[in-house]
Amino acid sequence: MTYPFRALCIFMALFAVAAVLLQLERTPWAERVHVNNLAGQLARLKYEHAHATVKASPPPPRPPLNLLGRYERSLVEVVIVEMGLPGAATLGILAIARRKRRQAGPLQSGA
Amino acid sequence: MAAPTPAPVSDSFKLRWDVLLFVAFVFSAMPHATGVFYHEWIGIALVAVVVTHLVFNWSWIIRTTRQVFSRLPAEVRFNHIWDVLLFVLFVLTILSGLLVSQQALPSMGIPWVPSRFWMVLHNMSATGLTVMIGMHIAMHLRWVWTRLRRKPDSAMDAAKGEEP
Repeated sequence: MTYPFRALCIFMALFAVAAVLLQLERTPWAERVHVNNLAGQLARLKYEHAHATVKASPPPPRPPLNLLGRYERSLVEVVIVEMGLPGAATLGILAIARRKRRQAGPLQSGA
Repeated sequence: MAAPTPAPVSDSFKLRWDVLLFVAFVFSAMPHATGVFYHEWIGIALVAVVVTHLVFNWSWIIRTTRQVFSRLPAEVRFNHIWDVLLFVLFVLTILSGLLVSQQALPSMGIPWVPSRFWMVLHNMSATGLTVMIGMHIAMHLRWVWTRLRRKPDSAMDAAKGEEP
């Protein structure tokens, strides 16, 4: 098979998985997040409305989503903590498994 | 008549491509440093880089998938299942990232209102993906180390269909 055909197969798999994952929006979890979000907006509006009766100028509206706030990570955090530590743990487990397999090898071959 | 077999890609080229993939992923995992604009466009470009990575390792994927329920060693079987999960999580991260896009989709003229649910999912899946990629690299570190120590090889090495 040629490379374009392979790429086409992978893209088809990618779109199939994406189509399935899009159904997550119909789960109760998604509804709960949506309801909580609306409740938060309503509470903020109520607060702003109550605040407006006391003060002349309400606080400025918040941006809808703060991508950077929850996603602030440095290079060290990404490479060392999030990738390096699980990688090191995996290497350790692999080393133990390989040593066990090497020790068990002669017994299996002798059976 | 048999299907034409493409010329195999050399292991050294595969390794360079993997380094590119790693660097691109690390940059995309730091939106605070790169800015949302570059974060989103690097993420979109990662789709092509990952698809090419999978195309390069196609023979290993097909061979292992055929043998996954029969005579594979446990380590290789776990590796394969892990890679499948990694693919699904990668798709989820890219999909949720597109659905909360603040600059890439609007810049293409696609009006989009980001959803809180997909934002939560994007944060979770991106963190999980980073951890899973760390483990994926660790599981293939022996291959990487062998290629690093070896001199630039010929295309025949790839024809052997070694582990990616």
